[in-house]
This record gives sequence, C-alpha cells and structure tokens, in this order.
Amino acid sequence: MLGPDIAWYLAVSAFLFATGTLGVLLRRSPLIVLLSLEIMLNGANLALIAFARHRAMRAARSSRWR
Amino acid sequence: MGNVVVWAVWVVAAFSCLASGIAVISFTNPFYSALALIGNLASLAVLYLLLSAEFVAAGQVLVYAGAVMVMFLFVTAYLGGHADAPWAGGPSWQQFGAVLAAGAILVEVIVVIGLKAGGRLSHEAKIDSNFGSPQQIGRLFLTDHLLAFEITSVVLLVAAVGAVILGAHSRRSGTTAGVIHEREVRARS
Repeated sequence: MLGPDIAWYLAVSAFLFATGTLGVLLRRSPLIVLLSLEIMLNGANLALIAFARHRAMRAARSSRWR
Repeated sequence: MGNVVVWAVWVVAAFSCLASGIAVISFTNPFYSALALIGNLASLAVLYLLLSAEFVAAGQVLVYAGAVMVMFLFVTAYLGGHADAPWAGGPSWQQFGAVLAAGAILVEVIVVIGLKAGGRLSHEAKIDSNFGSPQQIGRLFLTDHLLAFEITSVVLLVAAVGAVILGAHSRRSGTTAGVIHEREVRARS
C-alpha cells in the first residue's frame, strides 16, 4: 500500500478523539459542545475506516495464499 | 515517487485536520468554530480518500460539510451565538481536570494500540480496486444490509417528525423560538 501505515491513521484518530474530549469538558456553550462531539465522532469514524481497510487487506492476502 | 506524494498529501491533511480540530475548541466565537469544523471535515475527507474509501469521503463532504454544517452556520447566524471566553480567569481546577482527563484518554488509546497491536498492524498486500467504491457499497446496502438500511430510514423519519412536533410545541408555548417567530411576524406586517 502506498503511503502511511494504519498506525499513523490510528494516532491521528486518537488525537482527534482527545481534542473532542477536551472541548466537551472545557467549553460551556452547548453549540460548541456539539461541535466537539462531532470531532469525537469523526475520530472514531477514521479509526473504523482504517481498520476496515486493514481487514480487507488481510483478507486479500489470506485468499491469495489459499 | 508516488509514495512520496501520498506521504506529503497525508502529512498536510493530517496536520490540517488536527490544527482545525484544536481551532474548533479554542475559538470564542461559535461561528468561527463551525467554519473550522468545516475545514476539519474536508481534511478528514482527504484522509478517507487516501484509505480508498471514496463513498465515505463523498458522503462526508456532501452530508456533513454541505448540509449539517450549513445548518449549524444558519443556527448560529440566526440565534446569534453567545461568545464565551474559555481561557479567561486563569486555570481553575475544572480546566486542569479537563486537560488531565483528555490527556489520559489520549495516552490510554496510544498505549493500547502500541502494546496490544504493536507489530501486527502492518500491511503488505494490495487489495482489489473496488474496495469501498460506491458501486460495492450500494450493492451491499440493497442486498446484505437491506434490513438495517430500511430501519435507518424509519429512524430518520421518526426523528424528523419528532423535530417538527417539538418545534411546533415550543412555538406555541412562547419560548425563545416563539418570541423570535412573533418578532418576525410583527416585522413583516
């Protein structure tokens, strides 16, 4: 695969999740709390897509070996 | 050569993603926060494209950055978002605890990924080119996951009806939305 490993994507998603957590805990305005929740959702979403890509690659590799 | 280009695009997208995420929680004006979140969503869409998830990237740009964020911007512009100063008044114990908790979550996730999945998270094989393509996802929606797809549409319909009922109720009972509506009607007549 071209480009970075799955671990890099997971690091970015962890940073995004922590940023969203900080926003939820720190801000008082409900609108910005909602926006921070969106950031947390996006972090989880990025991790899900990275894992899906990783799993599809492993499945492709094992089917080639069979 | 291609690898270098992909790495460069990834670094730019990841850093703009993290920077705009920090910008969202540090702007005092909610309008600027919403604008920064649009940048965050756009750079995430680039990351999704690098993971060859074209459908999710297109949905991210169309649905989130297009529809949801425009709705957020309209709400802030309409109601006049109240600016609050998050960093004012020195570091209280609450802010200290919040930073500590967020840092603890970050360290926990990184340690779990590093320890449990250490060397096994490297991939060497290529996958077929239609992984995550709109055709494949559409076929899965209408064959394997048809029930979940239909249930989601019903849930969205219930949410829309509930929003309409709640909005009509608050307009009758003279809350903020009702007052704004009355002011609008008076200005029009």
